[in-house]
Amino acid sequence: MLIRPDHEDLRIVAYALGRIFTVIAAASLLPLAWAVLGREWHPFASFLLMIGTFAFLGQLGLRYRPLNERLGWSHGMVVVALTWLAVPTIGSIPFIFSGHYGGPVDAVFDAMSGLTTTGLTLVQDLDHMAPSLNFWRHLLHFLGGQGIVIAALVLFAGGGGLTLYYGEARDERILPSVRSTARFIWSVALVHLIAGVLVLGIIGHQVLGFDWKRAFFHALMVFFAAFDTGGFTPQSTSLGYYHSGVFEFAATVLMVAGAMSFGLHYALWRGPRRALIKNLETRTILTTFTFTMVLTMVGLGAAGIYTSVQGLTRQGFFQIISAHTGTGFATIPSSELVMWGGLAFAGMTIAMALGGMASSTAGGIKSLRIGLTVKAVANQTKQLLLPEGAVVSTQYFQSGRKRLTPELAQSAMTVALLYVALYLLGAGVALGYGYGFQEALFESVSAGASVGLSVGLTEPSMPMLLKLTYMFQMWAGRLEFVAVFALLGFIYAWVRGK
Amino acid sequence: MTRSNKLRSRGMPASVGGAAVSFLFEVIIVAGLATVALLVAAVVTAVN
Repeated sequence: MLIRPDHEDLRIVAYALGRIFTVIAAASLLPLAWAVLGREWHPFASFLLMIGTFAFLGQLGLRYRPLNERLGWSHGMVVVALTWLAVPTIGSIPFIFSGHYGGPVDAVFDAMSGLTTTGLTLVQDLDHMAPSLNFWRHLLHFLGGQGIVIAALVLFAGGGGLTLYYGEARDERILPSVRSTARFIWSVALVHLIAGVLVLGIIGHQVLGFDWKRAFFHALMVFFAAFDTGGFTPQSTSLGYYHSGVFEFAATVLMVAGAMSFGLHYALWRGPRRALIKNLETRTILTTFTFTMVLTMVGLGAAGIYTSVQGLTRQGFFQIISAHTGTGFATIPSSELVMWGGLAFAGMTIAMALGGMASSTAGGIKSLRIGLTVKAVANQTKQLLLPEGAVVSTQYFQSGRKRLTPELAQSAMTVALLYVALYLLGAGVALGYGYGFQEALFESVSAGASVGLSVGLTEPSMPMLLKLTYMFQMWAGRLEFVAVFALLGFIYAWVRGK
Repeated sequence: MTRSNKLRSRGMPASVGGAAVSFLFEVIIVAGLATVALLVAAVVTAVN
């Protein structure tokens, strides 16, 4: 029998949401300030409306202070799932009034894509968008990638932080307390922000010939999208706009940094660094990077699209890193990407589906689960070959030596299967509208794994149901299902529980 | 408690050297993968 949530449960959820909305309202002051500095009064008014909505809902939630502020497991998961639905909806207000979107659904689509660090977009005439609005699009990447709930954790004390932390699809606590782990995550991001923006800004000025202001504007936007494996860009032609190998290389370094788990960042910063070599995730991701890259480039070679070594290396390498890290930058238009076909398409789709490391800003199945699944299968095979009754114990290394238990293997395989089902869902809907199988699967995996590469299906004129499906895929894929199931269970218990 | 340990306990990475190693690792990984890509491209182009 399901127990219906009582008033106290609702107060706990409302109060936690109130705190988070208050933090988002504060963060939204940044694009507002940008609009003031740039004298962009039309976006300024819409930012005011958005901030007012966040602040109002925040204060409303804070009025319902529960008797016990400590969040239970299900409360935390529900709070995270609702946050990731509400923030894109309210955060789309400036987009709705911008005139750059076909309607409110398109605006919410972009805000969801931004927050989930996907990068698929339905924006129109991006090249003439006000800088403050463009900044807000990219800031959504940063807030989503670093974890908005985690940001609230750093700012507010209170129990139940662990459940919120896990709810945002992070399963590795680096430091003893969740708050110090959250602080570490934001410290890594800020250090990369300073270094990344400096390097990209200098390249923009010295190599691309931009004036300093323009160079640092582009550097900041590209940094947000690269380090948070997002994929939005300030220009409609993505990274192809810059036509610079040096700029692409610097962005690639940031994409790889973003797809690395924060546990790995910690090991790099504080040691022991020898652990990096033994780490299951490092080994798995380097193997899958190489495998998908070889597959893609052999496919491209066979298709004869790029005939020179330089062209093949530059296009194949950049696109595969962008796909595998879940970033979604492209240096070629979608009309050229769709021509890749065959093996190259398969390599790209597999790379997107696998994704980056666990507890990173990347999406997809994640290399830790792939590594654990492979180890579990090898374990089963070994068990079959050994005499009956023999015990096979498998260990792996990730922040220390750990034993691969049947429960852990089952959990990794279950989430991997759920991702496959999510990818097939979007592909099935697109197939229903008459799109080709390869293209339908590619775009669906791109949405479900929070990548953002497109072969042209994602456009303002696409069917409404497909837009809604991709939005669901982005939301469920980014939260890795647990929080989504918890919300559905909470609603069901509310309706049918006793 | 030393300043380094205090920062560490709060989740702040105190070591500048640590950050430098981190950036170096990221550059090496990308350079290594780019080298593999170059080799594969050279072989694929030669075969074709």
